[in-house]
Amino acid sequence: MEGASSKGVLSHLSHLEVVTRSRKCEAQQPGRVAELKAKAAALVKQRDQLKAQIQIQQNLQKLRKSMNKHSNEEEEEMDEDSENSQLLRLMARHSHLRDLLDAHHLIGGYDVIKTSQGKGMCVSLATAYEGVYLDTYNLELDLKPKLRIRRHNIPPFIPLNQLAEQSNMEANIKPFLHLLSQHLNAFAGRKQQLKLVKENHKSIEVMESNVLCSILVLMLTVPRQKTAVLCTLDYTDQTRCLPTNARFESEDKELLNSPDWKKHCSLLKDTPLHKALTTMKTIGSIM
Amino acid sequence: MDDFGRRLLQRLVRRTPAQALKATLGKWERLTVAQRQSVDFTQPKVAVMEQLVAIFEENGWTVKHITELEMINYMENANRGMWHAFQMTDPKDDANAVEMMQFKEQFKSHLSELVRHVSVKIKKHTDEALWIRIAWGDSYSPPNHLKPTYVVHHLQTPYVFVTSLNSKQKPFLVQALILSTGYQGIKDANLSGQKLTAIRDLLMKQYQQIFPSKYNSPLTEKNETVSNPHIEREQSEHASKRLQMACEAFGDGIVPQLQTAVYKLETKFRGDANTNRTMTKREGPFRCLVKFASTNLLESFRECASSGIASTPVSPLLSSITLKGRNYFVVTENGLPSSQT
Repeated sequence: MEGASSKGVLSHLSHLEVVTRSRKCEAQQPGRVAELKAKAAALVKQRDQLKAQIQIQQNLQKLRKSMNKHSNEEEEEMDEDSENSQLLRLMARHSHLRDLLDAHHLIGGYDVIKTSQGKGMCVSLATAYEGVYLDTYNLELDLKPKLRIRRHNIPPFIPLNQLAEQSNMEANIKPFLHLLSQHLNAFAGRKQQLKLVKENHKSIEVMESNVLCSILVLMLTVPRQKTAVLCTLDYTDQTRCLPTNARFESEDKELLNSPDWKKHCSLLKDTPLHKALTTMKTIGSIM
Repeated sequence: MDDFGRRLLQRLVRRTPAQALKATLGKWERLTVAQRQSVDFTQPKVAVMEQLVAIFEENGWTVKHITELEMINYMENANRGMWHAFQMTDPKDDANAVEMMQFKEQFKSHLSELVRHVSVKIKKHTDEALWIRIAWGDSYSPPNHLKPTYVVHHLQTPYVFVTSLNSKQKPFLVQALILSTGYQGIKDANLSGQKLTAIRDLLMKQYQQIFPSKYNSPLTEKNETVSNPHIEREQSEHASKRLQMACEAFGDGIVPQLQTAVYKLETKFRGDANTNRTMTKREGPFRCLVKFASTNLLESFRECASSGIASTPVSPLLSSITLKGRNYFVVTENGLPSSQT
């Protein structure tokens, strides 16, 4: 008799538990629906934006083609609303000029102008990384009595005088500009990578870095075990934005000897840092 | 806490405005939130001081911890005292590869080999600058924490900024610095000022410089004012040219805030031989010192040049300040002594 009643109480309790749980679920349901609806709306909006962008790009390409042909027929379809078409034409012109500039840099051209009635010149060196223009640096040079750097805004950790000597600037300026541009672009690239890592990988702690972005120490965390792994990147070759050396340190020696982590090491040496970290994250090696 | 600790803390509290002190304590990781909130900064300094002493005594904190606090405070409010710049020369091949831990160890060990009693603290600021606090002692006396020297250095650059260093200590600091940074020499950069940020920006090229350009620069647009259109047309070309030249010489936007520029002249006196015979007959050079002083010297110069008070193109004597990054010059008969680019 006693046993039956105690069993009854327990089963009653568990029954009550099931009931309350299902009630909670019901309460959560409307909230979840609203959330999904909002998400759907956001996605629709994003799709529309992308569609509009595609439309603009297509129009731009058409315009660019017609501009290249120098034909006069370009007006025909764009007249619907003049403000938009004008804007489009400007955008087309802008992208056209940008392509020309890119081509100019690609064939080794520099932006140079004459100063003080031909006695000097001013070179501007643009830096870019992954198709994004970053800082522009300038050099003002004296041509007479001899080629000499007069003024510049290149940070002091780029060894400017050393580069000038090394490439024999006085004899021929082009190799010097090339070398300098390599140094500046590599620096801009490293800096941009570090910025991207800080922005996109909040779970990774940057323990150590320097102004030249030539040494980088990151703290990575392995999911589940929560093991901390210290990753040191050495950019000894300052004309490159990939590290010459990458190594891991951790208390868990076995982990570092696993084939996965050995692969990560070479991955870091071959791919830009922020991309390598994303790959490592998707595999599930780090948090 | 002993008497000396009390004095040190008192000095720190007395010298710092309440708000800055609050911020400093906020940055100091040793205090718990409760301790931080318990200090009431609205009351007089004496009472704040007593509260802090109580907290320090409760935790058994000593001079070491007070110096820590002082250092944080100084790093946040660096524009005090007189900062002098030094430039290291002749880098070795590995100078660019020196990293912080290595520098820290080497600097400390070199300095303690040179000076018997010395207390060194090194901390990295958010802008990658290394801050070094040195309290000097000698063979007979312990480190004097009341007169510490502060040194600021960015690794991989040749520049070092120093404040409150006396000539007796200078050789030790210089030697420890060049040994631990991979350079072979060091020289006075002839640049000093009350604002660390200003002399840093000038030497590290962190201010906005203007370079000649093919296109109409935004400078001219900024200069446009609405007045008589005819006068405007006549004047604007000259005015914009002057502005361009002034900005090329002194920088655009917010320029590094220097207070002085000193020119020591060691030139011959030139003038009418009849009226000033005593001066022109002199054999040796005519010595004199020209000193410009302003709360923001470069801005004043730029304004003078762009408004036409000073002639443009700007005299090389003035443009050398930004060009060479110095504000102390010795002018001899042969013009400015040539210096680094």
